[in-house]
Amino acid sequence: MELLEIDEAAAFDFFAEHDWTDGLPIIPPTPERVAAMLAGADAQEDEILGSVPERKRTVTAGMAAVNAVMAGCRPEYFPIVLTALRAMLDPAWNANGVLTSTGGSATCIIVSGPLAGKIGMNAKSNLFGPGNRANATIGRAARLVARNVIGARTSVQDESCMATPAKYTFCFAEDDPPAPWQSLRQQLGFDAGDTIVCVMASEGPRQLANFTNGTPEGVLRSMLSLITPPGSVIVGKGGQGVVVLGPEHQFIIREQGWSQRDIQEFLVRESRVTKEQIEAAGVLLEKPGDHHYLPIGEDGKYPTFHGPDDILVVTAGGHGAGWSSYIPSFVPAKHSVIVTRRVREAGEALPDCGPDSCEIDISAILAKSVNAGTENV
Amino acid sequence: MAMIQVYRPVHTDPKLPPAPLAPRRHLAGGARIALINNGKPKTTDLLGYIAEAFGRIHPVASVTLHSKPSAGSPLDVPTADRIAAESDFVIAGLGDCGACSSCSLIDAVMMEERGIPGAVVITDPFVDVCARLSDRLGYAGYRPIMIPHPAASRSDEWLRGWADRSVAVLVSQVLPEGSA
Repeated sequence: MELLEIDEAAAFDFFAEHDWTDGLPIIPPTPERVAAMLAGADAQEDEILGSVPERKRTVTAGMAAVNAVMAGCRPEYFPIVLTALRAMLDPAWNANGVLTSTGGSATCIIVSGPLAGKIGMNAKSNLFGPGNRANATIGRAARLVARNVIGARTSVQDESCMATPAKYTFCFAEDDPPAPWQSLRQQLGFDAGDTIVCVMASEGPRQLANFTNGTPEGVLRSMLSLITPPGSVIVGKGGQGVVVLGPEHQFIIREQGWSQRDIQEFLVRESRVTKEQIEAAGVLLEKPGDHHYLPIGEDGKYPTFHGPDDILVVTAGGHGAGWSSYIPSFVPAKHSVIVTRRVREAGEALPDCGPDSCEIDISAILAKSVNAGTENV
Repeated sequence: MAMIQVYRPVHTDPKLPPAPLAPRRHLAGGARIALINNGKPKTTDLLGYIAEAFGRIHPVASVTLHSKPSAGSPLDVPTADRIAAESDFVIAGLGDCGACSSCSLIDAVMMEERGIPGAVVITDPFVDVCARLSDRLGYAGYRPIMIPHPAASRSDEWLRGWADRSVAVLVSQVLPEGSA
């Protein structure tokens, strides 16, 4: 990594003039701060987190640490930053497409697990809003890496037409629900003691207000009004989404015996839309061969989601009259999917690889392959 | 003035060396053209009209349409290998957004890497993103077929008109110099 010498008092001006920030002030990434950030996750500077082969770009832990310092992260946040970046670099997330698209997606990072509480993340009142350093800076660090390392800068390799303020930072924690509901990590097959990160290329959140209906179906039907507007890009096309249930709504649904799976199945079934609904909103269906809408079903409707696993059900938010939120993916799942990774904390031992593999004599294998090469020549 | 040392926060990989274009060959026996359709509205029509327009000035042996599952991803390697083995040149498109322009350009570049000339059809606002990416990939100056934006809501007559106007660029991009 390249070191520069600059005037400390003019550091922000220097970074802004070089187009190395999101427009907000940064913390100068000095060698001491970057080393402390790497130590926060026991990471090595040259450790490769992943690549975007379409752009011939590789992201290292060192460059992630530089940008995490700039974003204002504390070193104890860094295991979550690295995990989010590894998810973003999974080919299924499609970083090249997601970060170039005119759709202008936010990078929605959801953290479920004990590490979120340990580092002080906000899962309650104002969780999408300002005021929590961990939420704000983890999300910002991911976006600064996208911008500075992967090249997602305006009119460089980011062609967003509108984008969203959530693109500055969009990271929050789950507030574990009471039994019998399960945390997000348990719903996805991880242990209660794990911490996981789910990353979705998303739109900004849409807020649900329903203060009057005390039935699960009533609450979820109002949620559907946010899920199925035909002007929304994934409607009828097989997208993904996150339903964030505030305390009042999750209480109504849970206390009346619905499981989280019931919610997913209800929303998948009821979010199917007809051609007439789509066209009545002024959206013209594309021609056969323009493969955007999914095939119409036997019920004469287009599916907005392929199946229940395409909706994450998360409990979070503060007490109030009856607020929840819906976060849609910014494109259908065939272009990008939610990627989940387990966080490896600093100091966590690597899995025991067992005697079989540890006792292999690598030098003997190398010698053999060199000999084989010589014979072929 | 207190000076501090800071790391440069942007990617510092050296620029890739120039990559060679595939050889441009005379195709007197008739061109085998592959159309790489990314599924954006009107793309099947537009690419077909460009191939038709080319056929009016040059022998064509076959036109094959390949549809990608997602406009936001490039061709997968086995499909790219197969198309390259079966074609004399490709026309990829339609790049009328950021991700799809980038990926259609990469489709054309994947063909160049396999020894087959590529042409990519891009609407005017996205020519710059392709220029920057082609420069990044070692294909500085790669010339797209540019048509006005938007194409998705245009009539057949409009698409045919721009297909006709595209042929000169297509010829310069996929045939040997002096073929026009």
